Amino acid sequence: MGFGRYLSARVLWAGVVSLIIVTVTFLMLAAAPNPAVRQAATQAALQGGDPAAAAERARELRGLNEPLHVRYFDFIQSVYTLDWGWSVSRSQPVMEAVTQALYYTAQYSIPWTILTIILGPLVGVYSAANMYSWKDHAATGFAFFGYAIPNFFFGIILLLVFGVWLEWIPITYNTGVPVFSVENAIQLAIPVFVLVTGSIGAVMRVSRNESAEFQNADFMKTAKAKGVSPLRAYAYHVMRPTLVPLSTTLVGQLLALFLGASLLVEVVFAIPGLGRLTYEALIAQDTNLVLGTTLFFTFVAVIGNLIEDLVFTVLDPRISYDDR
Amino acid sequence: MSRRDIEDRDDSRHVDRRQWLSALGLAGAVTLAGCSGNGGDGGDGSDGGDGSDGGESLTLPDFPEFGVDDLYGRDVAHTLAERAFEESEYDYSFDGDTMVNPDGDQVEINIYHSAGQETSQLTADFIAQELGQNLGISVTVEAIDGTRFNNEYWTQPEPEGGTDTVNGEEVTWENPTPQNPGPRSVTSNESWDMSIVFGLNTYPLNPLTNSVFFDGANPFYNPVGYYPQFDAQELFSQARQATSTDELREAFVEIFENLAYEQPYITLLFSDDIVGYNPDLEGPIENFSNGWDLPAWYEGESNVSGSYDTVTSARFTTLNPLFNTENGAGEAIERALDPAYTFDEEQEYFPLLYDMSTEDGEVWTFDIRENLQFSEPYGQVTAEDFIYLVQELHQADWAPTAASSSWDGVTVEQTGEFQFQATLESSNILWPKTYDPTLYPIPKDLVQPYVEEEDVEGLQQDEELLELQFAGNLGPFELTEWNRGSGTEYVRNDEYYLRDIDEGPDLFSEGPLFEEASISVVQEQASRLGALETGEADSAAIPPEQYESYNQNDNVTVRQVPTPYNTILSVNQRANGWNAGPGNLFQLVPFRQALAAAISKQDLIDGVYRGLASPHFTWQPRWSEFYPVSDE
Repeated sequence: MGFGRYLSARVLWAGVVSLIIVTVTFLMLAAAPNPAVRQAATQAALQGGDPAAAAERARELRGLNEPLHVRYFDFIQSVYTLDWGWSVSRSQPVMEAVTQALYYTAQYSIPWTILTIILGPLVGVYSAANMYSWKDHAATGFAFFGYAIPNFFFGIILLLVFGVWLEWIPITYNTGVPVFSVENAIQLAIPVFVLVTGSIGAVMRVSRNESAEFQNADFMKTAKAKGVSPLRAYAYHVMRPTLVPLSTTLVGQLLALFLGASLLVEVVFAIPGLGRLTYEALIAQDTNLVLGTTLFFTFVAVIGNLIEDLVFTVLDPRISYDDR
Repeated sequence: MSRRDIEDRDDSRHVDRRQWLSALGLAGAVTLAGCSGNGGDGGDGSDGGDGSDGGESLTLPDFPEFGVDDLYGRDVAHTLAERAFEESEYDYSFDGDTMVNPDGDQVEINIYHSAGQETSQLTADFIAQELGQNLGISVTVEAIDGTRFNNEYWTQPEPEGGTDTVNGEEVTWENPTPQNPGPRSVTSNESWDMSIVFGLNTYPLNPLTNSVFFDGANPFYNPVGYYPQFDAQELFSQARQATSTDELREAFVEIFENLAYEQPYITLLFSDDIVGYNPDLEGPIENFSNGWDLPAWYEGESNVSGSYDTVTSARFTTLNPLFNTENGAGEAIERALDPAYTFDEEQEYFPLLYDMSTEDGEVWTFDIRENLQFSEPYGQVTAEDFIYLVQELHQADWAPTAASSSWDGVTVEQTGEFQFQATLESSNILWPKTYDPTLYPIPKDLVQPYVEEEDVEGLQQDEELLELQFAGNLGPFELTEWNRGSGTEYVRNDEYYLRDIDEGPDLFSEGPLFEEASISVVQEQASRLGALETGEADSAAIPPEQYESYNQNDNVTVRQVPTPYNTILSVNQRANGWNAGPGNLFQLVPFRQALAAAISKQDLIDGVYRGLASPHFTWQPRWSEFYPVSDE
C-alpha cells in the first residue's frame, strides 16, 4: 500500500469514527429529557397555565415531535455545517463561544505545546548525555519539581510574587491587547511557564531513558568513529529514534493541552479559554454548549489520532503501511 | 385556610404568647428551670424523667432570641428537645448526654456546606460541634457544589403538587413550583438532613415579599417543607391591606415574632458584605444603599478622569434587560442603562427615569422625565414604550420575561405622553420598595416584530438588546464590549440625562466622573484580591477571614456594607429529611427551637466571622423598621 492510499484510508476511517460518535451523542440526547421543554412546563405551571400543553408547544417549536430519523438527519446536518445552536448560559451561538474560547486558549497553548515538545526531548537527551552528573540531577530535579507542584498552586504563588509584590505582570487578563504584542507576551509568560514546567517532566523522563538506549548503540559508535560532531550525532542518531515512541506521548499531550490541565490555570489567570468554557457549560447544564465542546474535543481527538499515525510512518521508515 | 391553633402545636403552651408577656412582665418572660433551679411558672407539670427538669418549666417570650444568653446551652436545648420527644409519635430520648433514636442508636444526621468556601465549611464544622456538645447528635459534615445541591437536593424539577392536612385543614398545592413541589411527601430527588448552602433574602425594605416563603404551607418558595403553625396567611393578608405604616408594622411584628418562635429555618446571622475599595475612591458608604449615587463617585479630584474597574467572580448569562435575573449581570446592565428608580442613603425613593406617586396605595401615577432618549432610530422615551412593554411583554403568556410576575394583575393605562397610571388589585403602600414597578426602558419599535411573531428566542437573542445598543442617554456609560468569558467594558456617556435633573447630589450635573469603566470576571479569589491590592481593580469583595489583613493594608479601604441576606441552617422537614430514624423531628417546632438554642450565635460570629456579623433571630435584620421590639 502506498502512502497516498494509506492516507485516504485513514482519513476515511476518521470520518466514520466521528460519525459513530455523533450518532451515539444524538441517541443519548434524544433519550434525555429536554431542559427547555421542562422549563416551558414549569413556567406555564407558575403562571397558572397548562404544563402539558406548554410542553407540547415547546416540543413542536423545537421540532421534537418529528420522527426520530428526521431529527437525526437534521442533527447530522447541523453538526457538519457547524450550526451548533444557541448557548443559553452565554447568550451567543455555540460556534462563536467555542471559537472565541479557542482564540484565547490557542494564545497560550501553542507556545506551551511548542516549548514542551522542543524543550522536553532536548532536556531529556542532555540529561542522558550527562547521565548521573550534577547536570543530569539538576535537569531531573527541575522536571520533577514542575511535574509535582500543582499548576494552580504554582500559578497563584507566581502571581503573588510577580504580580502583587513585584508588579511586573498584570493580575487580570486583558482580552483587549493585540495577540502579537509585548503586553500579551507579558501577561501570558507566567501561565505558559507554569504549564510548560508542569508538562515537561513526563516528556523529559521518557526521552532521557529512550536516548540512553541509543547513545551506546552501534550506529552511534560508528558515527563517533567517523568524526561526526557530538551535536550532529545526538540530533540525527539519538533524537530521531527517541522521538518515535515519544510521538505517541506528544500527541496525547497535544490533546490534553486543550482541556484538562488548562482549566485551573485559566481560572487562576482569568483567561476565558476552552477549559473554563467546558467546565462552566457543564455546571450551568447548558446542553448545546456541552454538546458543542464535547464534539469539538471529539474532532480534535480524531484528527490528533490521524496525525499521530501519519507522523509515526514518516518518522520511522521501518514502519510499513501494510497490514494496517 | 390554616388557623392558629396553639393547642395542637405545643402542649406546654396553653395561652397565647401575648398573654404570657403581659402576665410575666417583659424581662421575666424567660425562666429557665434547668439553669436556675427554680420551679416553672406556668408549666403543666414536669415528667421529671432521668434527672432532667423536663420541658415544662421553660417559658419562651413572644420574641425568643435563641442561641444567646439564657436561650443558649445544653440545658435549654435538652429541655426543648424533650418537648419535641413528647410530641413525636416515636420514642426518641436522651441516653445521658447522647440523643438516641427508638432503636437506642445515637442520632446521626448530615449537614451540607458549599464546597470550596472556607467560611461555609467552618460554619458547618461549628454547628456539628455545637449539636454534638449540646444535643448529643452526631453530625457528618459534607461539602457540595451549590448548583448540584440546588438541582438535586433543594428543588424538585418536576413538581407534583398534592394535598395535605395542615393545622387541621386541608391544603392543596395547586401551583407547585420546583422550590415548593408539593406537601411534605413530595421531595427532591436526593435526601438530605441539614444545609447551610443557601441563605435567603429577608426583604427588609418590603417585608411583604416574604410571603413567597411563609404565606401558608404552599407559598412559592418552600424547599424545606415548613408548615406555619400560626395563621400566616391571615397576617400577610392584613399587611397587604394596610393603608398606613402603623398598620403594616403591627401585622409584620406579629409575623416576625412567630417566625422567631417557630424557626422555619434556624436563623443564625447576618454577615456584612466586606468590600475593599481603592483608597482614593470617594463615594462608597457603609449602607444598604451603597452605590445608589455611582455617577457622583470619583477618584482623587472631582473631575472626569480615569477608569472605574471592578472584578466579579461569576460571568453573566445574559445582559438582555428583559430576561436577566442575576444580580451581577444587573450591575453590568445598569452601568449602561439606569433602572427606573433607586433608594438613597436614607432608604428614600429617588426617581431616576420616572417618579411615582399615589394617594391610596392602589392607583399609582408614573411621571417620566422628558429628557430621556433611546439611541437612533428609536427617539424619545415616552409612556407608550412603557405601556407596550408591560402589556405586550411582561403581561403576555408567551414571553417569560424576568418581570412577568411583577405585573401580574396590574392594569396600566397611558394618561399622557410622559405619564401613565397603574392600578393594583389591592392597595400596597410599599409597592415601589418591592422593586416590582421598576422597568427598564425598551423601545417599542425594537420589540414589536418579536411581539407580532410571539418569537421568544428571537427576543432573547436580539443583539441590540443583548449589547444594550438602544440605551441612548439612559445610562452613565456606553457598553463597548461584552466578552462572554472576561466581562464588560464601557466608555463615559457624554449625553447622560442625569446631568440635567434637579434632585440628587451636585456632582450628578457632571456625572459620571470616570472616562471609562469595566467589570472583569475573575473566578479565582486570590487573583481578585491581588487585582484590588495592586490597584488594577477599584473594588472587590473581601472574605471575612482576610478582613484584618486588608483593614491594615494602606492600598485598600475596607467597608462593611449590611445586606438583607441571611445565613441560616435549613432543616429538611420533607419526607426525605431526617435520616436518623423513624418520623422527622425537624417537623416539630420545639425540636427546631432546640437546634437554635444549641448553637451559640455569638461564638459563631466571633469564631468564624471575626465579629463581622450580627445575630439573626427573626426574618428581618435589626435595622429594619419592621423588626419586633426585643424583650430586653
